Amino acid sequence: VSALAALYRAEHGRVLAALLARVRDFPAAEEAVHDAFVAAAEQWRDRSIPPNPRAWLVRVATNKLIDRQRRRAKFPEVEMDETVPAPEDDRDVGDDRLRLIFTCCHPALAPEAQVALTLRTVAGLTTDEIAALFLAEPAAMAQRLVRTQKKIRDARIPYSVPAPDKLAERLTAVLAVVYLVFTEGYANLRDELCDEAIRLGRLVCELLPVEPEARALLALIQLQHARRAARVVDGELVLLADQDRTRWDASHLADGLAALDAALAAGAHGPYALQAAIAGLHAQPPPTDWSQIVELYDLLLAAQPSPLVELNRAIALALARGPELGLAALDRLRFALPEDHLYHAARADLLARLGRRDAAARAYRAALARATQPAERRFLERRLAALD
Amino acid sequence: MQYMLLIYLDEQVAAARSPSEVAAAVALHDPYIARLRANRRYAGSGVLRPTAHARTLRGGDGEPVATQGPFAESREQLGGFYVIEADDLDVAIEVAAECPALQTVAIAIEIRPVAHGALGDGGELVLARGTVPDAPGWLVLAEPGSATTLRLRDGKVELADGPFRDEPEPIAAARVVERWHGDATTTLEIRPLR
Repeated sequence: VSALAALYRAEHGRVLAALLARVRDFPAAEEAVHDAFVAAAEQWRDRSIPPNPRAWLVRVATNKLIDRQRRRAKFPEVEMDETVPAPEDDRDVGDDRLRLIFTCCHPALAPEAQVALTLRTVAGLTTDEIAALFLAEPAAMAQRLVRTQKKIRDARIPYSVPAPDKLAERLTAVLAVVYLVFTEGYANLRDELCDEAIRLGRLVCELLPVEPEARALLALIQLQHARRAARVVDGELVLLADQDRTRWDASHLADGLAALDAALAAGAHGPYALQAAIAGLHAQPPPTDWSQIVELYDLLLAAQPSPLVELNRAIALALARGPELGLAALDRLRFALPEDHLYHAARADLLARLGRRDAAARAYRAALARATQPAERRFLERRLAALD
Repeated sequence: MQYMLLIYLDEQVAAARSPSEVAAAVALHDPYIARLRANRRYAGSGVLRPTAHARTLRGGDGEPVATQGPFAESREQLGGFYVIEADDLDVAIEVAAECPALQTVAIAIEIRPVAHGALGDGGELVLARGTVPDAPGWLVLAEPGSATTLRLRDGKVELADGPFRDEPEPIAAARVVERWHGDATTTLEIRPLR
């Protein structure tokens, strides 16, 4: 890919954020930034990229915006704030980018709209790239983005960092977007989505260095992502206990553990911190401290009750105190997760450990009837075959 | 900037209330309106009579056709409205979240940004559906895609992106008149006020 594409990726969000600091019209700003990059592609084709491309892009985009407004002088809908200076360094733009993140993750926007717009404007992905990430039609994704930007303008969603009394609640929405991008990638074994989530998580931590929950989320996704190469081998899912630890990504693991320590030291105790602490325990050399993992799941259940958390707790309980107790805990979920393949797979595993082969086989078949991910299906098929 | 708060309720539930319950619920709005006025946020409000008193004019190429009853047959109907002044959507959400209707009879409050215009004064609310009438005197709303809908769930305000419901002919503009005598170039739903 060309230097310009890399520059687009790195600078699009920053330039847009700088422009939005002066104009409250999201679609118009986006259009002007697009024009500026088109101009850059033409001007820089024969010559080298200027020493401060960001300043160049902001200047050109601002001029494009003013030009368009002059041509549409009959509709003076855009008010320029000429008093805002052009950004010169990262520190200036940092505040703009933070405002941009909070605008994109505003609770009056649908979660999928928040995710798409954040990837488009903050992470600098093109519409086609986002459509590909979410296996959506590019035209439909473009429409969603346009609609979202129009809503921001027409409903006047503020372009600002929330007041301190609202910050925690609004940060939750931002972190949810980051985690949604990650889990979408994690569940579907799509590394590129996980990488984007980590990039976004790093950015949020960089812009809000004092927020322990943001740091905890970054720790969580880095620790989970560190295991990606060991998690699927030859197209088949490998359980954590059976993973080849030498295939874990040492740098993500180290980063994740460091972020976890920092988050816990700063007082993080929310759901991301608890999950990251569990992932941190899994990252320790064996034997795994399953009792402590069960305790952490208990805290997580108290903070965020969910059948999937209960499922994970039941699995940990089985490893800490035996399969009978785990199975009893799982049975309490039979009405909550009857269609979830993970529930049936976990039951099958515990039944097999108890030597109840027929029941285990039935449970594996129930899981196979519901699992769609090929790597998971191959894992379940092999487990089922191993019963005989 | 102005926002219109469209208060939706279940007409059967609302009709089942005793007169004293209704009076108590309506009385809650007086201090709310007083507070809005004191903060310079108030730009109008109204309580609608039930849709049994509504009439609908369907405009088009030929003569407009008038029918008794509301635009859409549904238990969930517009029951009242506010027009408020707010700097941005966050302020509008705060104002809407404090609306007493949310604690009493409302199913949801839809926040629609106002594009331009003013509502007027009188005894009937006229809702232009589908398209904005090509005439002055209307409070024109931004398109439904810019709406945000508030609901109360387990005592907590929840936000949803978009209008209260998707309709083929959503409310595009509104005005209050003494009594509507004009024709209909677009579909009009006329709702008497209390």
